[in-house]
Amino acid sequence: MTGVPTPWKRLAFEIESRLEAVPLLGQVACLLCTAAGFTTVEGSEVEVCVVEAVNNSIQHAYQGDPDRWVELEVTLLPGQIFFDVWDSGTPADAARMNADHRGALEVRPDCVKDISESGRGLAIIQEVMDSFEYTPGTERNRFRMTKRHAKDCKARKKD
Amino acid sequence: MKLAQRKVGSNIVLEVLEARLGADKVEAFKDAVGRHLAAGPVSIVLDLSKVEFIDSSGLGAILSILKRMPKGCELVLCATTDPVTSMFKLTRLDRVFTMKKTVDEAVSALSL
Repeated sequence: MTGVPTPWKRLAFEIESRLEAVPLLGQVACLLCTAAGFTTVEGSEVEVCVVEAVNNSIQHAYQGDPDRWVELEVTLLPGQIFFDVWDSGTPADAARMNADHRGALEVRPDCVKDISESGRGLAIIQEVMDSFEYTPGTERNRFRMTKRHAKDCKARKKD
Repeated sequence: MKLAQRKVGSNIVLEVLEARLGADKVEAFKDAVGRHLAAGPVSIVLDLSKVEFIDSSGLGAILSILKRMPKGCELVLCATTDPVTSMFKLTRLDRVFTMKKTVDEAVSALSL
């Protein structure tokens, strides 16, 4: 993967579980993406995904409790990056989290009143990332998002 | 939530003076825009030229404003930056909103 600073293979960042702290983790994710050779557009999209995942931890796992923590662990590998969001809150239903969320993006412009104002976060993640997986644990819950280089995806598809 | 406002005829142009419209800002955003709607029926041009980041909460907040528009009034979005435009397209919400490239185009769309 072009542009990967070789001494950095795995980085971890922790914030208090406050919504106003979330942008920092998003910006870190964007920065690491572009440093790893992804485009600025991809970096911006990944930033949104990381923010969505961390917001989920704060709003759902912690029910808005500001005195907990959320960790973003970034692992740089050849051709791909893992973004692991960790929390120690109430685990979510793994089957629901790992389901297909693309239906949340269906809209009928002629029925504005029926369009939901929420529930798009996981659908955005599914659209932007190459894969995602929620793994609840007894002590910590992990939400892993994987972003692969487009050229590596194409190479795999040819194989 | 910082908003700059100016009247154009009977309509209002609201410029969002925040770089990010995320979960930590949406309640303040809805309150700020809602105050203009509470003052009476008015169409709104929402100038998003300074917003560089929006997440699903921010999109939901703008959708909630659209749903609250009084009968006969319109909400037109304009001057969205590339990352914000990308999110509207990705979530198909670009099909729901009237979106224009400039404030002038948005104001013209209202007066048609």
